Amino acid sequence: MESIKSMPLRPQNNSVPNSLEATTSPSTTPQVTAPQAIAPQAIAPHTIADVPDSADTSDALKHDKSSRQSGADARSSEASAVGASAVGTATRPITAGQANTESGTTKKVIAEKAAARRAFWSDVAIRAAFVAFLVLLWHTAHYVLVTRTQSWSGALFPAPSQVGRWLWDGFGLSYFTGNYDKVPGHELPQSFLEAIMQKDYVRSIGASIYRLVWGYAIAVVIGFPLGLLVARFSLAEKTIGWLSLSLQSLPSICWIPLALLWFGRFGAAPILFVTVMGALFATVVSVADGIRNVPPLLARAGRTLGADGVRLYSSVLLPAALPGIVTGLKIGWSFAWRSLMAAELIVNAGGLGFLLQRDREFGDAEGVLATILVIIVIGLGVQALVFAPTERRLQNLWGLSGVRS
Amino acid sequence: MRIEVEGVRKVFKSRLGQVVALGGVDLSIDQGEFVCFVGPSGCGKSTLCNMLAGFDTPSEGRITLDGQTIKGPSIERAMMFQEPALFPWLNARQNVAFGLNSLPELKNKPDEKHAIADRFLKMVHLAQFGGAQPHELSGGMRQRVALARALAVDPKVLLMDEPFAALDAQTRDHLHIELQTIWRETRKTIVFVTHNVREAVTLATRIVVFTARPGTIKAEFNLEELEFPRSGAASVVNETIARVQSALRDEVAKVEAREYDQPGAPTPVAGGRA
Ligand SMILES: Nc1ncnc2c1ncn2[C@@H]1O[C@H](COP(=O)(O)OP(=O)(O)O)[C@@H](O)[C@H]1O
Ligand SMILES: [Mg+2]
Repeated sequence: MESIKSMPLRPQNNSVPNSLEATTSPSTTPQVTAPQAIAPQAIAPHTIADVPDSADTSDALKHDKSSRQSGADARSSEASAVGASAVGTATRPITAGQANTESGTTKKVIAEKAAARRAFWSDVAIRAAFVAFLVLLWHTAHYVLVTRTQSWSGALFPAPSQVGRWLWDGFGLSYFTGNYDKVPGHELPQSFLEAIMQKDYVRSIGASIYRLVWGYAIAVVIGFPLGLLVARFSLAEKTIGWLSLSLQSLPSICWIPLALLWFGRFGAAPILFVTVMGALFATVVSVADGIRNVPPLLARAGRTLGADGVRLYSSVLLPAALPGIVTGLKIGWSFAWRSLMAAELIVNAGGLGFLLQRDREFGDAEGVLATILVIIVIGLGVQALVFAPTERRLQNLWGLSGVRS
Repeated sequence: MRIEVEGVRKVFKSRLGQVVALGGVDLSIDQGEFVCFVGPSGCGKSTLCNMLAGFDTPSEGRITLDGQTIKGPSIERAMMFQEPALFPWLNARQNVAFGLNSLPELKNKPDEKHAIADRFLKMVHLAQFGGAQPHELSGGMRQRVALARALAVDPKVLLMDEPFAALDAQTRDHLHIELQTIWRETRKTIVFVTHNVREAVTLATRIVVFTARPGTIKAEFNLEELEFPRSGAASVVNETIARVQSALRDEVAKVEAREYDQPGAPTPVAGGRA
């Protein structure tokens, strides 16, 4: 999240007023000049007379032409520098004004990008150091409690190295290091791929993600339109909206008994059911909230410009609600992920949750800890790879002020 | 183009009871006029402007444009607000082109829309900023984009509710000049709400002064004879400002008596005639 704060927003911000001053050099067009560049006495209403209309239009034309020439060659370098952060419409044109101060802007953009990159890596370094510290703490605790004082069983409180080995083996990497634990009922693997498929993690991650994607997709496909209805019709709000709010507060694990009764103890169906129920109501509620929180003024602006009915929704309310909707989708995702893990723990059908349960039954504390780590990393990974970039893009496009115009 | 406001009253029902925002307004506005509504705060200027825009309907009386009763918002009556209300996901050019999507004759003609948008951006001297996102522009620039956006749909009347009230004085002066120039070039009918008498006298061909709530028309000033540009140094301009201000003074005093604590005064009832 921190990296959002340091994203390269400022250069664009700065470049605009700068190019303004640069392009309107003499005081022939006081209207366009930045306010601070004008002496106070020149601003009195009588300056209308000092500015013949013809002069200032031709002036504007001149600016336009000269800058358009430099615009062409500026485009490529601008595009590479700014384009990365320009989002949404692929055809976002680079304006003549921006191109005019191209060299300055580009330099600034590069400097800001470098600063952002430095900030990003320093964040990474801080976190890595913190994780290393936690591991050291863990190791020390293990040493004191298990190795030295033997006040705790090593099987219940494993050392970080044991958990690391478990992960190493669980991902099939021990195929390379020669300490491969033969899986009962399987031959020794002939290839790394075979090793991976014999071992737990990649297969289980695949199964969990597969269910997550399906469950989440179903929840969104149902929940999104319901959210729209709730935002639009007060009857829907009083019924569906109210129901969603109530059911959202029900911990999704409570659906499991019903899922087991309906869909049986095995197979993916009960898991999918719980995942959908976990994510659906959060999605409805947050999509509706996203739209309700659109500033009424934007809707009025849309209406006075002729947008009504469906077009008001598609061209004003939905885009305006996008930041809220993305937040809603993120909340829905985290609900789906939690529900999925809970369901997999109880329903006997593979996946990461099942691994937790199985390793508990075998008393493998290092396996339980290793799986928890995997689950955490997946959660962080989806956040970092899917939601964070989306939010960053939105913020780049909209500016930090978010919904306000 | 002619707007008729006939016997319009507007009553809001709120928690505190009824609020009579407008207490019977008769007014007509002709093609090419630049009409300023001036009045103390809360006298119903915005309420009337909203009803002209079609966001609200009169409780009594009716408002017509060319004989047609105003039923809802329309690009015939584009409105500008105190906030620019630009769409933050669109760049300046796309914002200006937004209303053009409502015009059937421009359907599926992106190049023409683009060209029109650029023309209006140039009119507000922002030709170079078509690609900028709203957050990359200053407050005054955003309000100019909003002006271009409203003008681009070629409305029969442009409604402006205190459009410059949130800007600093220098920027506001610039925008007065700009609006003045545009009005002289296009002779667009403009209804401009303000509580600032100097602003009204700088811009208007006619000033309508409202009484304190419930708003009725207290006085009208015809400024057609007053030459543009209206310099603050010209004595005739200052005299006009003084005349409008004296019409307004009593009404402002009424609002103050009602809205500020007065030692020993009875608690005023919302909507009651002070
Ligand atoms: N939607 C509303 N509901 C209740 N009262 C309102 C509403 N809109 C305006 N009013 C009241 O009507 C009166 C006139 O408001 P307005 O037209 O905004 O005044 P102004 O002249 O300052 O623009 C005020 O007393 C205000 O409180
Ligand atoms: Mg108002």
